[in-house]
Amino acid sequence: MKLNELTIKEAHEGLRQKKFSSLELVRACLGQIKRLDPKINAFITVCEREAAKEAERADKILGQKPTDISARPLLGIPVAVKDNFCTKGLKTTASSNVLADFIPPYDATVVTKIKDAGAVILGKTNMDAWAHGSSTETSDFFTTHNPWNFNRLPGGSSGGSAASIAADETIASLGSETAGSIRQPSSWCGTVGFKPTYGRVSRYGLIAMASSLDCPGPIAKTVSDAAILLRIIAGKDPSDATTSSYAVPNYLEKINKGTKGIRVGVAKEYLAVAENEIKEAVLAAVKTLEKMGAKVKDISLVDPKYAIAVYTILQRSEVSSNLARYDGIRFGFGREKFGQEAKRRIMLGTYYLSAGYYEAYYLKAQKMRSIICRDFEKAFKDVDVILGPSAPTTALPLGASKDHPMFGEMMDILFEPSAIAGLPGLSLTCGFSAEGLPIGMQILGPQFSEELLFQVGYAFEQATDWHKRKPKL
Amino acid sequence: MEKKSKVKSQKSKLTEGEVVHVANLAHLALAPKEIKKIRDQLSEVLDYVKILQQVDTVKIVPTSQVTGLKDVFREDSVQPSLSVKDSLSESKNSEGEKFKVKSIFQ
Repeated sequence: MKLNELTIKEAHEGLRQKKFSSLELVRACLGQIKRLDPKINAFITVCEREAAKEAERADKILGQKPTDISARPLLGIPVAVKDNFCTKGLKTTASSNVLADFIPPYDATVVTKIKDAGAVILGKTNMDAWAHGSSTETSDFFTTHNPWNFNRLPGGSSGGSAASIAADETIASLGSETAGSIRQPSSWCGTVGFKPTYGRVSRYGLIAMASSLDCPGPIAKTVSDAAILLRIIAGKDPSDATTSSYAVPNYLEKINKGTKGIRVGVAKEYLAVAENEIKEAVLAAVKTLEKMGAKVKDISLVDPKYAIAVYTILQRSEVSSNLARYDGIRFGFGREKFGQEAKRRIMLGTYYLSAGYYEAYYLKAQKMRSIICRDFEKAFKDVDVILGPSAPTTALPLGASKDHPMFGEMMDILFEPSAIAGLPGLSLTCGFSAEGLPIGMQILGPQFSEELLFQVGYAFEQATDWHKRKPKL
Repeated sequence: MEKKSKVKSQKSKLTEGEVVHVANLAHLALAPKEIKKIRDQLSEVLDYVKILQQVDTVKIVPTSQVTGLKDVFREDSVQPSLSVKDSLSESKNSEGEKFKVKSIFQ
């Protein structure tokens, strides 16, 4: 096995046992990037020299104080970071021409946290500009290609992070989700994506999109890797008042407790939206969990089409407010550099919030948001988790999002309800289409049920081989 | 209250004037040929969100914060912050220790 193909867990063990050095690990990833990224375009910035220097520093620590590795779970391990997290001294663009030359003078909280855990930042990954989209096609720079088929989209907005994991260009990656931006590209690229409860992870230093929904989270090769990463980045942050003071558990502690007796809900409204191949794969996954002792129950949820409308109003409104700060005075370029998608979203949000329309749109959407929240609360009285399809299709061809003002919403239909309710969700591979493209399923739980989601996801992963399949590159 | 609010009626196509007005509010400059395209695209989305009118929300309390936190305080203590030099480092137009902006009053 090549070093760049390792998981966080394997890389950590290898470094601990001195089977290889961090520099070798980083070089293996940089080599893969050099070989493949001209075709995949997952990275906007690759930190070749800085990463090598950081790796040497990690190797020095490993040589002098080998016990340090126990306290620093990412020591010497390469991580790719989505380009909407501020990184001190390292260009951060959010894939927008407005920020094409922006070099932040500070680190996002999650970046500080992974650095403290010893991570080596490999580079910054491509995304839809400002995270507006589900394809990376709204990036002002270039489109990322899906490692499973270069003529397909990787999904988005965290498409670069997901593609870099699928192509083994990195060991771990960070993404962010507002509604689907971690789970949908994970579903299309065959990676594990975890969208935490709103407020579980600090948004400080994350370029704001829709502030009542934004949530950083991991994209990884396995469920346990996602659990390792989430534990590092989660927690209360004085710089983000929405973060929760609930203690962050060691998500690995109960991860192998299995699914015996766990009540799994399957919503017919969610299955109805997915293509047949996906529906079948998800139902097969339900059977797998049932065989392992889970109690399956059919449930009914509010039709997700309403969540699309709520999301489209809340997100556009919050975007128009957040992007109002970009004036080119203190940093970046002026508003004439906004791309088409950003302009559409800013204008729609401005319209929703303008005099006379607020109650009809924004307030109405917030009321519907309450109905969706209550609907989930009711469902979670009868079941512990809800299992369903992730994206309703497998990866679509390049160009699919062009001139489609609601492309993202349609691709994210099954993520919007849970995102609106602030719930956590885990997306992982549960099969492959006839064309050989990954099929994703998601496991949803009540707020702050991260531990349980990892437990169910891990049990499924152990019982199946889907996560071991790699694209032929 | 809700019944009185202005929702675009059945055929809800924005006018070009409305598009230009919203663009002005948002400080965005649109090229003439962009206006028509954006008008169509915004109208499409406005049409979609009309489905919310099917739902009775008269007695529903709106949600703006999903995890129930409110009035979050922290100690008002002095923390290290960015230096003036760092704060100005990304500006394309600064003078001395200040950002330069366009004049507001003539």
